[in-house]
Amino acid sequence: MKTHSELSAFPPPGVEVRIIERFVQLAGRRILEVGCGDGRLTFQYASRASAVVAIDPDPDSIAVARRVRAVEGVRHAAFQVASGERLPMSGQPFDVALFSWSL
Amino acid sequence: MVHVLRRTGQALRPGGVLVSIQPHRSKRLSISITARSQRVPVAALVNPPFERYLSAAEASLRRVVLDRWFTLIGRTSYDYRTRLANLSELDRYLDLLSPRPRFPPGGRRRLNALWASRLPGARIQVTESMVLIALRVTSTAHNARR
Repeated sequence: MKTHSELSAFPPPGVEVRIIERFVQLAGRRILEVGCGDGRLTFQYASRASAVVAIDPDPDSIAVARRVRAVEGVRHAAFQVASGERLPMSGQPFDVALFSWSL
Repeated sequence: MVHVLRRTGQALRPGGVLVSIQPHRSKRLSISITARSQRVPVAALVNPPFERYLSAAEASLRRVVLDRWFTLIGRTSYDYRTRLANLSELDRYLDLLSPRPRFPPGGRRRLNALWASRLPGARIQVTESMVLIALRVTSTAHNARR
């Protein structure tokens, strides 16, 4: 029997990244993820990207993502509380923007 | 949503790619019972509020392509399955979805009846579908930034 934390309504880990990479490579890219939640998808590709800015309007989800980032040591992923209406527009442009179940 | 897509286009470098992953609008979450390589379909759940969100999202993606802010690179869909041990696990799975889908008329009764007469080792299988849409930003987005 699955415990509650194991139960997920998302695809198995790795599937989404594999399908995304049919269209665009993520390795070495600057990536903006809109609606990242707790970073469930972010941590599947972040180690290969050159930089990641992942945003979500829910502060609790971002707090979880930041804790996981600290544990995983993914320093080049920045998690920010923001909505799609208020995208971080400063800095270098992004190569890829991901809307992960958030549009 | 169109506004968010346009803002995103302006945050991308020329030629950058936007990818949207979302549930498939027309392939509904379906439930079946599996045992010994047999699969008995039970029901496809309904979720009218969620289907309205998805229609709006797809309309927004179509809009930014029609307005030439993006060009379509491609679209693909993928089915994924989750096997659950019992009815309470199914309920917990459905609770993860917001808004929660519901059974069509008679669907829950059919599930209960089929589950009551299941073979040893049977599982409840949930099949969901996602669609991935990839767009490439055009110069329109960058010209609008100036």
